[in-house]
Amino acid sequence: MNANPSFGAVPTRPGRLLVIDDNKVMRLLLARGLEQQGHSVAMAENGRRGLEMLRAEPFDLVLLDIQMPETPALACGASVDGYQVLECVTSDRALRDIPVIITSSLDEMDRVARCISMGAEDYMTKPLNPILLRARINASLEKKRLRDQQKELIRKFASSEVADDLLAKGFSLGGQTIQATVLFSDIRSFSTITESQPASDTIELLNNYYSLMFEAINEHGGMVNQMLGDGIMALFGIPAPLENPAQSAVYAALEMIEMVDLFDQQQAASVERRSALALGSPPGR
Amino acid sequence: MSETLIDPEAWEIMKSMTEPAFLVELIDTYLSDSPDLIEQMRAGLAAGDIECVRRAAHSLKSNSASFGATRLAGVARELEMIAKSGTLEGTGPKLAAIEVEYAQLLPVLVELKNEC
Repeated sequence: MNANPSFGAVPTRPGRLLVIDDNKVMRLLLARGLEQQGHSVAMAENGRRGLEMLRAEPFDLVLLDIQMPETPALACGASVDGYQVLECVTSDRALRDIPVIITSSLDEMDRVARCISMGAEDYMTKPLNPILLRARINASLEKKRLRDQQKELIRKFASSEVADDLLAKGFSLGGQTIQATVLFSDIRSFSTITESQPASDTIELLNNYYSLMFEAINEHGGMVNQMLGDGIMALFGIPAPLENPAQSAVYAALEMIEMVDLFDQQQAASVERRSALALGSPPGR
Repeated sequence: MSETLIDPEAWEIMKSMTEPAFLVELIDTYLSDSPDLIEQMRAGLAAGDIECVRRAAHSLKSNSASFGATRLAGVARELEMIAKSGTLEGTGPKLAAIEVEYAQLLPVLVELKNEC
């Protein structure tokens, strides 16, 4: 039977991959297979070298052999073992967004389970099936791209401090009592303005307006939580705590008014601080 | 388990995945690494180093399976499993069987390489 997998097909979007395996035959085979799928591949012959390479240049994905020795044992050679590489990657802020796919044999499902619980993205069993390899690599790369986009989005809407916190702790739902302040703002007679000019002008106005407002809000530790047309809802003290959220919100509001005054010199729009309120927020549950 | 030294289906997959020049490099690597792995097993067995025997058997198993050398991969796996259970008891005959299998496989791989 002649299985003829489409190994040479070009992926939708190629990535920069690192293969860490102390076994040269496996390393060559895997690297070549991935290259034929259109990816750019680097190889490391042990865990220590792999970590050095990860820290030296950006990678989109790592394929890690979990069967690498830790200590010198006769001719087996010294290196950092597979678990240690995985732990280093998942605990390092600069590296933890890189998905790690474990390569192992079918006999090692206990090891694989441990790796998944340690934060590995997926696993592949050897000998590698080219079709599965292709599917899993592409799925992992796609997931990473989505996560990167999400991060980028968070950075746009949150102060860098808040973004870091969100990315470090992840998004979570749950009961929490927080002292915080909510700020609302919108442009007075926005409907009239939109009726009086082409849509493209309104979009341009909103873009400029949002840039200025976000800057003022972020400057004071706030985070834009929602936008609806010209309306902005910003949070102070959530999710990252502030010493005095109400005061920060008021300062932000004052700066927003200043920004709008400047903005008004160019735009025929006036902004009403409908409720640039400093509320001692009720405890959320 | 297949009675042939090289499982034709696995070999075809391997060929479809690679071009001839790379296949030659891969076989050369296998032929160069396998004696080292067998030597590691022998030394590990003599020194009572279970982990070294297990690892070398594991590598030989994976490499051999990639080429479709299922018989050799099978014996290497048996040796790996014994070592994994924490003993070297009964591994002597397995190692001897590995050496016999490898000696038979060697000329077949060289021939396949020359056909590339």
